[in-house]
Amino acid sequence: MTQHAPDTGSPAVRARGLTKVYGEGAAAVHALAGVDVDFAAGAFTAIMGPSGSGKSTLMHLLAGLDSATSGTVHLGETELTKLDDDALTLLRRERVGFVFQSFNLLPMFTAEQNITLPLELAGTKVDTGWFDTLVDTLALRERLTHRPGELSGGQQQRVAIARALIARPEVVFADEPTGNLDSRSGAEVLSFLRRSVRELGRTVIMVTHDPTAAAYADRVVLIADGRIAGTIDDPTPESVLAGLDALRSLETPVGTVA
Amino acid sequence: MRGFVLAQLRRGGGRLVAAGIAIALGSAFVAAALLGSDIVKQTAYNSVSASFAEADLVLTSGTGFSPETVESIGAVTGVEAVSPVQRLSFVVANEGRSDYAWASVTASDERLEPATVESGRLPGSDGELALTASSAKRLGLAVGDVLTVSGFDESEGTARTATLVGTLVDPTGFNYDAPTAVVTEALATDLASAIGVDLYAERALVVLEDARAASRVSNAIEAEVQGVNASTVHEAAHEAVVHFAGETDILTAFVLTFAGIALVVAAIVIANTFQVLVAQRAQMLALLRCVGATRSQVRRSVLLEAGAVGLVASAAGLGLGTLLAQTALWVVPSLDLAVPAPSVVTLSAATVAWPLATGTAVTVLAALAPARLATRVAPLAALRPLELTPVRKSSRVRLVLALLGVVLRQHRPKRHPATVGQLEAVDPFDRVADRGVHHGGTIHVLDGRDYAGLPTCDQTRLPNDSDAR
Repeated sequence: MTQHAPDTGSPAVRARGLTKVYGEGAAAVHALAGVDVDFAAGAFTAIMGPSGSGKSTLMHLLAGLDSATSGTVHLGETELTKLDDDALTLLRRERVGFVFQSFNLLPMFTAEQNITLPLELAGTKVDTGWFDTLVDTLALRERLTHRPGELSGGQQQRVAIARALIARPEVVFADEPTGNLDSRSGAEVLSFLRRSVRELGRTVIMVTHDPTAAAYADRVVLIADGRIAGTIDDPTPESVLAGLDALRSLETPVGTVA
Repeated sequence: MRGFVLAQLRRGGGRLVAAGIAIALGSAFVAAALLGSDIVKQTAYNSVSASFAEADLVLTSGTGFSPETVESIGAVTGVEAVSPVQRLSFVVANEGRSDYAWASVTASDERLEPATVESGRLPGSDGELALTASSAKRLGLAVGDVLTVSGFDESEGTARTATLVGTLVDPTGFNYDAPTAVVTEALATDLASAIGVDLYAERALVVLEDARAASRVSNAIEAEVQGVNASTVHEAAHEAVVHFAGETDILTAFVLTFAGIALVVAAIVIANTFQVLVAQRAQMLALLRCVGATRSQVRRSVLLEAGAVGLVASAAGLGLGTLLAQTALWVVPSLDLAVPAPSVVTLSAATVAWPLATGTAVTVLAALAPARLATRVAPLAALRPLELTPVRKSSRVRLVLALLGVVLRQHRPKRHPATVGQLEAVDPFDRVADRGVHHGGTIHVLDGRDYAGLPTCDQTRLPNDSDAR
């Protein structure tokens, strides 16, 4: 397995002119209306925006989980928008990791089996050094033989993070990773995500609506109504809230129609 | 993926039981049909080969075996003894009761005598006769009694008297050709001429000096004696069984029809079960797709699971079918059918392979459609906050139906705009967007440039940010 070393020079993920339209004609909904955005390698980026802003759609397109109406997505040198289902699957297997809001661990597998699942699917051997690094970083050593049902939400999400990182992907997408966690476990998970960027050199793109969660990122990309609405570098909860408030105040006229 | 399949099998064991039973019954029918057919054939073989006594070769001739022919056969090198199987049918009667006799003439060599004496002895001198025990019983005769033998029309003066000198073991099973009486050649000839028929031998039995020379001697006989065909006892018995099996195949086909129906029903049950399993696992399958399982891996996992279920179930079916056949064999002796049925079922490669193969193949074929359904689960589905916590039994069916609906709906290439709203309904900012979507209106798209002046918060880096690369 080749390790795709983070190169701060070129972006890990790049979108150009990305649009996504649901429905047709008068009923057409422009979930994404032309997005140009770069996500730096070796960085922790948060995508924030109101519901319906298209942030989830953007993540789906960036991760190759959904097809764009127009525009391109590049993961490193690979143009995702040109790949077929099998190629996208292999890309997800080798170069992309996922962390979900609902953890999505296989209930009948132990924590260890869940972590190594992507490698099992790929039929590749577990790099024990890397496995140990992940397990120790995420403090899962004592939990390896437990099944998800025996783990707390925070522990489950840490297992999911280890699973997302086990194949040393170029980028990890986290979809509301703290959405199902209490604030303490959420903070724990977020600092683990940040550590995996700082200490393990990973690239993480996180979709969230929580300003506190977004403040863990190196950079926040604000999205509203299918377009990039701004970025916040080195965010704090306050600066993120301020950014969101600015978005909300712009939207209020629409919201008061009803 | 094998780990996943195994784990699923362990987990879904209960749900697969019904499907497994259906398959097991189907292959049990297949096994029972094949074993039954085998038993019938083996029994027939035993019966037929018993009628050849200790012969090494069986000769047939379209023109019968005249004394001259028999003599020239006996002269062939390697032939130790030869006895034509001369047959004659007549009526045996005693005190107003009569029975039909399908008699054979005593063999010229005792090794070639197919009849087995139960009591008394075989006829030796003229005017003697042996009957099967059952025939003697019907006529109320005991060894030493005198009876009347005649042609089918007594008025023509064909009646002779003969002494019953022995009873024979009843011919067994399917051997319709077995004699029910044995007479001396003199009595047979006398009776035949009185009735007005010739004593006719359709075949002759041969004992060889050396049984290992069977093929050489049979070639020699065919070469030296005109119009005679020679075959080994095994070949002759096999040929007779094939002829006979033509009739038993109807029975086999009948049982196999049941097997077919059972397997079709099993296929429906399996298709349904796997459809439900796939629907239940939609979230897990989506996750697998997300973390790198290809469509063919997902398809294979379902088919592998089906194959494993099919193999285990059809193995159980094979066991059940074998048990059925064996039970039949245990029951047969107590029915007093006098059938030389084997006491133990003999499994051949075919009787093992076919039930296993059909059961497994049907299971896998029935799982093809559910497997296809499984490949259609979009990886995107893993990102939906769809909780799949275990539910109580009462609501399980409804959940399954609902999930099935969800899975089917997910296959539509274009998602309805409403889904967008539902997906993000957990968002605290949902008022604007949800209303926009649910009311069928379009989301108000703000020009991105409006945000160009947004505050970009460029603050001092946090202390622990300094080690960022």
